[in-house]
Amino acid sequence: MKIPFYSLRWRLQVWYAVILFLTIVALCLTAFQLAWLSESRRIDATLMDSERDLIRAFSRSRESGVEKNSKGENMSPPERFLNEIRNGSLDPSGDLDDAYLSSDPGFRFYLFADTNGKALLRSENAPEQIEFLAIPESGVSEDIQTIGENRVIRKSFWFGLQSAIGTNITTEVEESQRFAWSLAICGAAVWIVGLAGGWWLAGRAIRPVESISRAANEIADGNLSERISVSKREDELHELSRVLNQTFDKIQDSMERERRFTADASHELRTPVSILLSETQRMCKRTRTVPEYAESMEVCNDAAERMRTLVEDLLLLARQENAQLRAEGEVVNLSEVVEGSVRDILPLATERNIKISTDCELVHVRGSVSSLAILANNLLSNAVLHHPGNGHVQVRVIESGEEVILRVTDDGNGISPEDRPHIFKRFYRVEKSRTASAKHSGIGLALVHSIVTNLRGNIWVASQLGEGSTFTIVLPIVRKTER
Amino acid sequence: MRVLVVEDDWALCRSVAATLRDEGIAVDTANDGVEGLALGREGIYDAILLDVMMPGLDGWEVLEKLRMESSAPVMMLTARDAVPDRVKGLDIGADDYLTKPFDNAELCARVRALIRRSVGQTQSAITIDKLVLDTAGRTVTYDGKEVELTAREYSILEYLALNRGKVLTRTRLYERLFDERDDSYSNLLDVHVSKLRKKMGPELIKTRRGHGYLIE
Repeated sequence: MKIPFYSLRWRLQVWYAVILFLTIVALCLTAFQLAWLSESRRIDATLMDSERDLIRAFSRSRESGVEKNSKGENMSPPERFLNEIRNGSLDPSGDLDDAYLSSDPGFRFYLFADTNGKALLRSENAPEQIEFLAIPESGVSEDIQTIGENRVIRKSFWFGLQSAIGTNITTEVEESQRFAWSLAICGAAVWIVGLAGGWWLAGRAIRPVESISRAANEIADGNLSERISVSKREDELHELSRVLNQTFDKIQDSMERERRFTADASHELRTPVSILLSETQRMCKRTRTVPEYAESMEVCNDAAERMRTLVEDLLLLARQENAQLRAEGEVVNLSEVVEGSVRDILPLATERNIKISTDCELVHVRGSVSSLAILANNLLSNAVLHHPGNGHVQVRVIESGEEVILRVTDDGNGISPEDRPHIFKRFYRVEKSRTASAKHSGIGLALVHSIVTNLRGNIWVASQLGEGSTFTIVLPIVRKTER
Repeated sequence: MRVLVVEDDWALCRSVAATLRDEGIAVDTANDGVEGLALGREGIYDAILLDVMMPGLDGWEVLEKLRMESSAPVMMLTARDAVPDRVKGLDIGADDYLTKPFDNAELCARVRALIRRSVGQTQSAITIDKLVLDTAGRTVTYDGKEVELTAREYSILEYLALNRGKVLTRTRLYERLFDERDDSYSNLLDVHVSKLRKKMGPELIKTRRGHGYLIE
């Protein structure tokens, strides 16, 4: 863009200039040609008239009797005219136009010659040399030509007469030259005005493109919130700006997610890494007793375990959040998935003396088995792990109109109203201390939320502190006929 | 020297405390902001290490409330390393800022520097007559000879040296040098002081009967 002649505006301008120039030139040439054509037609008509007049003038007084020529035909006026010249019976002082006598611009001349080109009769101002046409076998051959500054009718008759009657066209030529000049000047003026208009138009047309490229540059420089201002007119650039803005939105969104993921991951990993570093450095500083080493090892192991859970969950969550909203996917038997999750959690529940009752209708939803399993596992393990023990967890899958409802109810501690709005946020933990959080990354419910959103469903929680909570998930149903 | 560590992660809290105890520093721990604030208000700490991200009361809030009544040096200990976070911490009244993960050596050095600054000592070596105390290397030379001290003995000597000229009561010494893990009703202090006198001669640490100990 820095080299002016490479810019779109310049290239548009150059093309425009060339096309405009060619158009103007073609128009001017056509106008000139038309003007000259009509002018020469007028001259020719005058010339033909004057030829007739001339011959009439020379033989004005004579009776045109009927004479026979050598072929035995009636003599045509030119033939008779030739005879008259030869006979010397012409009246040279006839009623001639003044134009034949002068040599001012616009004068006329005549020249009659015999077969050999010898002049029989000529006006004073006739040019010395005139190329006559070849004499034909019969009839007459004639043409009208511009010879030098004269327009000349040349005729050659079979019987040996050659004539050239012309008129000087200096005035007309000068006239047409003036016309040509004025055409050229007008054309140039139109071209220049057109160029200026074209420059302005090209600028106007380019302006949105410039603003788009400015915005794109801003974004490339890292200012991701910059957007192209979309014009109100719904033209092609409006559409382009809109599409680009949407693309930028998506890019910003995914960058934001990426950034958040990195920030979350690094933030959450810092604590276990600190533990590992601190413990190992402390242990290495001097020799310790075996129980001290064992305890330290356990702490390190817990920290590493936490990092593993965290990394796995974070990756899972990133994958879920990056998955575009895809309605397609396999048709999954939700009740089967939920029953599988219940089976998985059952040993832990039994250990904590928690009874799980399931009530699953046979329903299908669209999604992937793995993400639905993550969803069910998380809800169930939350219900069981956060339960103080000795209780009851109820899992229900019900069909309700166009929806499938998955409901997990526990009679555990419940969630306080202050915590409730935050539980679906990443790394939000209800426990006041993270002491026992080795098994919890704080991502579980965020993950559940992401999955439900991806499946175009809804999730909400009802809870009473001290009495338990109910998580309800609503997903669109898939009927057998739709499969 | 007695330090309070406020950190919601139990394992990290324990590890930091152990590291500092290895350095002869008495350490109390608190696992959340509320407990940390309550302990901090007692005013017996030479330095407070404060985590930022804590459930309930977070580190900023604890610091703000603490600053209303205490000027004990505070070091923020946090996973948030963005510049605005550091600036915020320092503006609220933190004296230092350490991002996780950190090196134990750096942690200890910073804690020592923090305590030194708070008593107006600018160098890591303290010289009193024939006594030279290198707080960085934790070595003591007396009359040109290096003296072997236990961590507890060293910390008593260091505390007395840092507060030279001041009579330090037994209660104060107990408060400042022994933590929640020590039995404060024993006569540990007297035992340590007599051991110190044995190693460096009786004239260095003086007893003000009825008041306490001092180094002049």
